[in-house]
Amino acid sequence: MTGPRLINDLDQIAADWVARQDRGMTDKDEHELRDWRQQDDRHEGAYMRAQAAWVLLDRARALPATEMVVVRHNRMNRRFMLTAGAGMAAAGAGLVFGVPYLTHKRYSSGLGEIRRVPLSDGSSVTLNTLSRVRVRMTPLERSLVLESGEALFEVAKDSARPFTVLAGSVKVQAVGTAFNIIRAYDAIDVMITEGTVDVWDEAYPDLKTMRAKAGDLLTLSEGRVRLSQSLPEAQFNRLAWRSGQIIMDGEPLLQAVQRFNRFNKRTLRIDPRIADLKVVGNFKAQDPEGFAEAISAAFDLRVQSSKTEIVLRPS
Amino acid sequence: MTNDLMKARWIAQHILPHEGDVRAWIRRSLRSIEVDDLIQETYCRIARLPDHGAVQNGRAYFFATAKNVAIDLNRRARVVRMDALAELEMGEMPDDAPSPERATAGRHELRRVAGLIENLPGRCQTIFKLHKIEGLTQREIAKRLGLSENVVEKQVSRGLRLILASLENSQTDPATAKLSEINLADPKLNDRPQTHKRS
Repeated sequence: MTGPRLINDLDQIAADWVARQDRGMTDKDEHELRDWRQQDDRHEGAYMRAQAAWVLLDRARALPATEMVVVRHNRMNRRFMLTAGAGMAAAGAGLVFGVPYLTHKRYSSGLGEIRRVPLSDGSSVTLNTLSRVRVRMTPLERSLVLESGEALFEVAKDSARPFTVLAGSVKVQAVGTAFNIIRAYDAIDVMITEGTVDVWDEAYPDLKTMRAKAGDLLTLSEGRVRLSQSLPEAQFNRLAWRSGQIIMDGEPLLQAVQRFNRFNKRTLRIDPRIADLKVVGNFKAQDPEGFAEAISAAFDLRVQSSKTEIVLRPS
Repeated sequence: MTNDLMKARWIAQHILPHEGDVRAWIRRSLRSIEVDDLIQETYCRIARLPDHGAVQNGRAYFFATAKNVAIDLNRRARVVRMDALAELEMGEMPDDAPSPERATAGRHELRRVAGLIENLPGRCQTIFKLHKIEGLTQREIAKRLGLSENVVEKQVSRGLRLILASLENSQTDPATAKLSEINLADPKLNDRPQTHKRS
């Protein structure tokens, strides 16, 4: 056996049987396996466990193709990359009409989940908590729709295929750049971290297309646009969610609370009288309790917590 | 055969994801028991259950069965210390933890599966992807990669063995744990005396 012999040899024997069974068994094999399984309860247990692990892997087929197949760090040789690519196309399309195998794909993240989705063109989308994006890749365009939430788009250069993101009626087009879009209930924020993008609102054709560059933060709401500049450090803080953090640098407490609540089932509530307290600190997005403790200690607040919420009040 | 497959599917879905937790619990509560033996016997007992549909909560069932097996092993072998079993009665059974992580279990499960395959070494990983994602048979894989079927079968077995090892340690986010790290960190790599013998 080429595998390392460690821990428990029954597992190796069980794995051998499952691999053999998957290849195809002779009558003699069937007999041997039956005997081995009946010899000892541990044999039967190891066999069923191995079989379960094997069928568990069938779920990999439910994964979006891009997540599993584009493995750049892998040291596959070129020839194999080509064949694997061709195989994917055939398997994915399953159709004869030359339909690109990646037509519409949807990716979403759950509560508190941060998910990075590599796209087939080398770009990537990182989804913040409770966000949803739809991706369409064709030979002519790369068009994405941010259906809800917040996402950072890192775009691979490909001038032949424009990369656009639609959020509500707001469209952002980029070539070789990175930007973050937030779809809040009443506004759409576009923060550009690299390069330049064009932004327009399809619901308001009178509004001119705006060219925005790294450092710009555009807030679009009902046909109105607000442009502000953000320092690289502020941008970094704003993107701290990618590592599961919330970084505050003097923003009001209310804003911190809103950010936490996007991540957690257990919600933070604050008395309006303390909404404007300035918060500074680096917090774990999934630890509202820790945040409440730190804040209450700093500002001498009263904390009341129940299963579903944590309430902060002046004491 | 098909019956086995149905059972395997059920176990994959309802039992396997909790193995890391059950093992951790056994290690905490029953220091002197041979964990692998206990786990294998537990799987055997679960597989022999005639009607899996009756099991409401796979996780709780897994914990309860492991506990019963521990009691039986003790009876048979008389090596597990009695006070260890007393601890087991007292010890907290973490079988009901509706955490936010559980809420998104389906997706975690998918990513975990992806992680299991991603962490396999080079050629093994390629074979698993061709098999499990593209649906090629071992024979087709051998043809495509220019390998003999024996080599493919051995790689399948080797990869499955590595995956079985990483499932032992899977607790919160196995997708991030690399197999090599798991292997090095596994306490069972250190020699440990057998704690009991079968009669």
